[in-house]
Amino acid sequence: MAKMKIKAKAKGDIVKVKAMFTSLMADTEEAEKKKIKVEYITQIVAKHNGNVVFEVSTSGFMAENPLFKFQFKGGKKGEKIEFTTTDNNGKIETGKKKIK
Amino acid sequence: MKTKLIILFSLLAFVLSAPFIFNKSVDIPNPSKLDVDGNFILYEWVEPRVGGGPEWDYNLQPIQITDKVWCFFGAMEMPTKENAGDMSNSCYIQGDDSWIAWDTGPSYIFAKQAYAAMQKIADLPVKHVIVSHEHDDHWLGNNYYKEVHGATIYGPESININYHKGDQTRMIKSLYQDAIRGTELVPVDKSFHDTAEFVLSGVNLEYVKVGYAHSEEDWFLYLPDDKIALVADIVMNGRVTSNRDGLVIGQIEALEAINAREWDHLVPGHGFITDNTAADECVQYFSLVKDRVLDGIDEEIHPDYITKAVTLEEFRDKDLYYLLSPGNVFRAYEELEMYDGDDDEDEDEDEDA
Repeated sequence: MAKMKIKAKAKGDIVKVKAMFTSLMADTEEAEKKKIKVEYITQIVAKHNGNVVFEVSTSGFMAENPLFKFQFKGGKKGEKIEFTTTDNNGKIETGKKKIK
Repeated sequence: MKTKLIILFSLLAFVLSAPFIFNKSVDIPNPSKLDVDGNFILYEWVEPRVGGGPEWDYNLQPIQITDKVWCFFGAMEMPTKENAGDMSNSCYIQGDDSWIAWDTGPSYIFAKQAYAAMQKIADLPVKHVIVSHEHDDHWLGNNYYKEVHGATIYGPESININYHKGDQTRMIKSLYQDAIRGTELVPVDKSFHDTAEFVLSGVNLEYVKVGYAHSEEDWFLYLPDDKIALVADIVMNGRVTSNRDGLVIGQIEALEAINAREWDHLVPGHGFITDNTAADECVQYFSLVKDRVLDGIDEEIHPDYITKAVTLEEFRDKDLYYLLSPGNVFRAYEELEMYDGDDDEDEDEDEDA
């Protein structure tokens, strides 16, 4: 499922994050139409130093390869931000990225 | 009495004109022919007008670049009815017993006239055709060489995947029949998965794969003995390139692969400069596009405004600048929005749970 691309940049005490997840985000209707498996991300969580800094519930209504932008306070260059995605089939994937 | 006569004549006129008013002479054999989006396809039921007039005269003049290589240079324009698709460059390489054609131009008639011009230089058949990429201004002459010379066509696999006999390509749709007549899409006979070195008709060739650069699958041809690179649309000069199907990063890597080889001459896909500065414009263009678009993304410029913020002033006087450069910048934004330079390093950090 989701391969993720993450960009995280610290400016002062604010970290700006962009993350894109490769997924067809195919709900039942679309999957039937395209004759593919029903597969879409249902939850995305981003953590920094063990604290949740971003969390969102998603569904097949989103466009494919969804892209998120957000920012949080308290991150520093060199630290890592970790993403976890869960899809409708319960598959979990993670990805990490160093803050620049 | 007068009123009655007027009414009677009016009725008579209506009856006589009825066949013209309710004209059903346009017969649509299959009116339900719709495309996947439910749009009516007009050209499906209009009879093609083949025409019988004289063939378009491309007035082709081969220019000798090295001892073995001659090229035809097309106009610095988009394909139009006025240039009959002659807006890309194609070359001939002289072998021991045959010509090798590098890209075959926009039509059967173009290829036929190109061969006639080359025949005056050496009366050899064309046994081999090598194609650079899938854009149709570069290979629609293939069927001339296949049908008349029985040539073997070497080219990207993407041509066989994305194009099939009977497809209406951009060129087929846009040219007059006296130019496009006889043109058919023929498949590539032989594809390679990676860069290949081989000898055809006594000529040493390196057919170099550069992958996704100007199009989905790009290749260039390097002749080590002649120190010439035939690079098609990876390089354009004198005009702004079209990156509508390409990738900025892919282009930069492809240009590095070209410059890693020792060449004295380089023939671009569009443009007339063939000396050792031939690739410079393209190297500068893509380097500026990359840097400026990445800066724009860093400054959080909204994609709707990126073409206003990022202009390539250095190329304003080049042909097709106003037509193509904004599109290239917008596409670069889409490509580079998640570009991070060290993506390979990140791959290791992605993991399945």
